[in-house]
Amino acid sequence: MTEDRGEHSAVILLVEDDPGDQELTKRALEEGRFRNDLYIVENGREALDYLYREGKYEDPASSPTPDLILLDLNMPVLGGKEVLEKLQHHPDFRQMVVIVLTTSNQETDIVRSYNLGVKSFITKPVDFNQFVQIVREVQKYWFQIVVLPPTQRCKGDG
Amino acid sequence: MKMNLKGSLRAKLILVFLSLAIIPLLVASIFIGYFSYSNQLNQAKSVQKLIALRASEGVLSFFRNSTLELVTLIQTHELLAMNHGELDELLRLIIFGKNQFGHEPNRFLQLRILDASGATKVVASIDSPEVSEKEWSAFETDFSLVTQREALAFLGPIRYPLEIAEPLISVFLPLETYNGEDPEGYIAGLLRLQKIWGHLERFSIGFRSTVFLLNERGRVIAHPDPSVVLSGITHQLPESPGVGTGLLGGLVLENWHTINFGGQSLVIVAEQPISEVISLTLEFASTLGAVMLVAIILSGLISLWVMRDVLIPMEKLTNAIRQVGKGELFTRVYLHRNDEIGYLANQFNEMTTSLDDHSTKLKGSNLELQRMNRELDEFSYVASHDLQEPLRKLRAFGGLLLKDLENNDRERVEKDIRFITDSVNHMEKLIQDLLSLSRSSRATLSVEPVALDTCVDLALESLSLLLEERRANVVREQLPVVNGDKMQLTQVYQNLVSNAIKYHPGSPTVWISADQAELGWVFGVKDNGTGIHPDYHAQIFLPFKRLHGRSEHEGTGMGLAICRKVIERHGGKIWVESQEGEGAHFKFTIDMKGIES
Repeated sequence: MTEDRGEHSAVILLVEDDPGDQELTKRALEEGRFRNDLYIVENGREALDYLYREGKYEDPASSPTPDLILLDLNMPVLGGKEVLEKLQHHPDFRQMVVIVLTTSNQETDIVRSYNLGVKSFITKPVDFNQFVQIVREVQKYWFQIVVLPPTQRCKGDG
Repeated sequence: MKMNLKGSLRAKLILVFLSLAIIPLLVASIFIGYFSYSNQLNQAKSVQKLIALRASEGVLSFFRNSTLELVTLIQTHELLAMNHGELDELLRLIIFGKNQFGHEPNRFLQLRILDASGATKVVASIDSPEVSEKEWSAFETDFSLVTQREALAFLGPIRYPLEIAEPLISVFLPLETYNGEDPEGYIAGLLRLQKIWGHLERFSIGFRSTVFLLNERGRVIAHPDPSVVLSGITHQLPESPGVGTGLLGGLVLENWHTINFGGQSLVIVAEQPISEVISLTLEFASTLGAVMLVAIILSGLISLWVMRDVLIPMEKLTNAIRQVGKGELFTRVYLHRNDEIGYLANQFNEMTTSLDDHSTKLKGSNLELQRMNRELDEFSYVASHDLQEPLRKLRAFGGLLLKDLENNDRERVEKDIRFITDSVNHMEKLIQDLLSLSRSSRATLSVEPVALDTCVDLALESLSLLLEERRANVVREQLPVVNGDKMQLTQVYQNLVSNAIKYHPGSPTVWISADQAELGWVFGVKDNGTGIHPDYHAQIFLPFKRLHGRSEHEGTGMGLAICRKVIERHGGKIWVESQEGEGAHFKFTIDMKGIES
């Protein structure tokens, strides 16, 4: 997997309704050492549509299956918690790597108490540099060390 | 606990009734019984005394008549001058024949003429001469006593010669004396006391008494039953007449009279079994017993009735109180009585009713408090969360701004500044809406009749810019006049209309209506916008709940929360009827009767 470095750019799906946070995440990933393609959707409904390739996300070329989802919890229409529940019950996405963006410890506790298979929690940036540091750590961990399920990689490649 | 209370009260009641019934009876009967007993005793004592006296007279007259017969014989015949044959005939006549006093024959066992020295001159006897001499031998000593005194007649001690089975008494009479000298002879007789028995029997019958004769030593010498005399019983008399042990045993009442005759002292005793004496008292006692039995049964019945009347309701009340103690406040006791217990039950029912009411009210307000607490909790969480959001971004973009200034990246600097400005604006809006929500909760309602048309006019006026900008079409119905706060109701229409416009991609149409429903007016604000999924119909009225991304629609999610607060303070309800993509129809009611002013 380490060879992926330089050959592939990781596909990241950001589910976030706040334009400010979208911008901040985008910039933090730019600061990271890994190449990545960032796709942004604004709420849980859109995130599911994206994953199921429905509506405007029909085309796999413009909507590739992500290697990693960065998920906000507090969103209109469909919240992050509901998205996690749906993914848990879907055979294709049960193993999907989801990192939850939280703004408080309370949110972390809520998701944890539901045991929704969340891999990690990232606190939304209060200090930008701190946020960048955390994003780097996560990237390193998920793209360098962890061996991801091959089917996902294939889909991602497609 | 239950049984004890019941038991003791029951026992007490029974005791009270029994004692009420029995104690007076008992006291009265003890008094009456005692008086009746002592009265009967005294009466019986007198009667026995009388019987004894009468019997004494009989006994005395027996002796007198017997001696008088001999006295007459002495006075009417020259006994010493008569020959043996004449005397014998005379004496036999007295022994066997009926005399002039009409007495029965055979009262004397034998008669003798004695000379001055006491030697027998003539004997006349019922028995043969040999037997007669034997019988006499015991009485010869009596004669010596006669000589020592001067008497008309003398009775010797009572003796029981072994040969004959009856008591005898010797009678001595001096023959006529002249010149006061010693008599020339005597006439002696053995008198049969057996002949008195008949007399005694006569007295015994009819009085239910037994009369008998005692000599000085207490030996029975005469008794209606001869075997008593023959068995030689002695009887110890008590010191004074009254109740004692009878001659033949058993409790008796005794009285007696002592007679003295011819130097002898005899006691005539009359006794009556005590059962006879107090027969009246016994009768009284048995009657009393019957009366008491009736009284006990009656009092038992009365106490049972009272128990039914008092204890059963008490039990019901006690059970009811226990139920209330367990928290069953709806417990009621129905006794249908007009007395004190009925009053108690009514009071109890009033108490439980009022307790029930209070409890229900308390529960209601408790639930309301819990709900409010939960809401407040949620609110403070959401509020702090939402307030932190712009702050967090200010800080982050502030950092980025510095960095981008260093890199002299003009495009990014502008972007950073735009985000910073947005955040500040958002923050300001949040605080304003929070204040507005707080005002709608706390500001005093100034309730007056308000024409809702005026409210809508004011709302549309303040939204005129937005309406124009979005080329919105507002369709209005005539609205009624209601009781309420004009400013706040205006706010409601303003928020609902502005929502309707905001959540529409193009040129919206808004319908404002009022329908008379069964329970009052239902007001409506309808749009043809994006609509709301039924899952979110409840939460959109909570503070800070927005269904759409910030990029799409401006707002803080406070508008509907304010609407709900205002409508609730107006005693009404607000809800939405909508499907996603089919527009939304907000409806609310107003009911200002009895609500805070």
